[in-house]
Amino acid sequence: MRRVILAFVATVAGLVVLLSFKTASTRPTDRPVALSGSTPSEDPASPGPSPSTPSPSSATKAASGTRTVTGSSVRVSEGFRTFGFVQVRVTVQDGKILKVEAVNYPDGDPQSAEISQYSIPVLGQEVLSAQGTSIDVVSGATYTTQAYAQSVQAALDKAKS
Amino acid sequence: MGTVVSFDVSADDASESVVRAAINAAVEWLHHVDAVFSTYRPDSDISRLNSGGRTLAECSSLVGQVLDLCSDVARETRGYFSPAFAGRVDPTGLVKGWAVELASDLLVEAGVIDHCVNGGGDVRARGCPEPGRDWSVAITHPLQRDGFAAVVEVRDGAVATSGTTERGLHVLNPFTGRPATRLASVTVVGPQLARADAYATAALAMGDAARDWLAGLDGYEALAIAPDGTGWSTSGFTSVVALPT
Repeated sequence: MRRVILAFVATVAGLVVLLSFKTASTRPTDRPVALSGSTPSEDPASPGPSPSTPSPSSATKAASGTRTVTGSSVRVSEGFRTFGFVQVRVTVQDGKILKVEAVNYPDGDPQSAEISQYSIPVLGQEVLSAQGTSIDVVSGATYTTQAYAQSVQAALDKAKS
Repeated sequence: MGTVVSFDVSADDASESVVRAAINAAVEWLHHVDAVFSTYRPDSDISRLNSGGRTLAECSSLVGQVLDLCSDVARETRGYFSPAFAGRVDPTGLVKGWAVELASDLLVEAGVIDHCVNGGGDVRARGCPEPGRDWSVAITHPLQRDGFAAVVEVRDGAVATSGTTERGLHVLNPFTGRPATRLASVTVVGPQLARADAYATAALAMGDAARDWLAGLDGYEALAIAPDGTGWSTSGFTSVVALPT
């Protein structure tokens, strides 16, 4: 794929326009997922849904090929926030899903849980590469023409052109 | 203050000459906006408007459009975004995002769909950088140069960040006249770059009150970081990078 990178510099005194073409290489697209939890397994000894900690799943057998499986408690997070834990019970008959029920919801009223405070870690390039994250562009407080030269955006423009 | 606008264009669906022509048109547009709106140019419409040398009717019609947008945004931000500074008209807090948004529109009109325009840290992304992948927009960490606070994925949207790191405490609370210090940076993600840009600046000026205000915005999500390194985000703000919770 051909990509065109152009940096347009507007200063009070004058303008500089840089233009270059280059074929971009494919980069990793793997993404971490927001859900985490243990693999569901059948464990009749399990006491069942646990409200706030990941727990083994449980399964019960009912009449003629009907089976109920309760999944692990799964942490639901979005961004840096954890909403709570979700646990799902699935009823299967002859290999077909009859019913899916949520037996445990994220707790707290969504409005009050809207915002929570947390410490924002600093992600270095090495952290991002370790997670398979590629960066196309950088959003930040407006940089001046002078500051652009030292910015990560400038490095990206240079690397891609 | 000058800044840099970077264009990142995937030229799969357009020939090189089409892409070059589209980018030239977008660059020409940005120069025109600079000539009309720059407060650093004594001959710009905005400077002449402020010096009394020109009436609004004598200015480019773009000035009226931008001032109308400023009024809307001032209302939406409860007055925390203000197109007036020291008694002068100054729509700078919104013009860059607005101009970059329209530069992106010019590329689309020319058939250059997949692109990302970064105007000094304010990003408008469209389409995708490569098939099957969205644009990954890294958000600068305000407390560490070259470090990031989050990475958001955007297919068709805008990401704007307002902060005190690059140019110091330049955002004033319009109600107190004092510099905003409660937040080090605010990033707003949403459909329009002009609004995302102005909302981020307004939120910075609001400080702590920005939490509730941002949470109530329709279609826009935000991440805010305080000078002590703590932060918060609205419920729909999603970073693709898994972080400790």
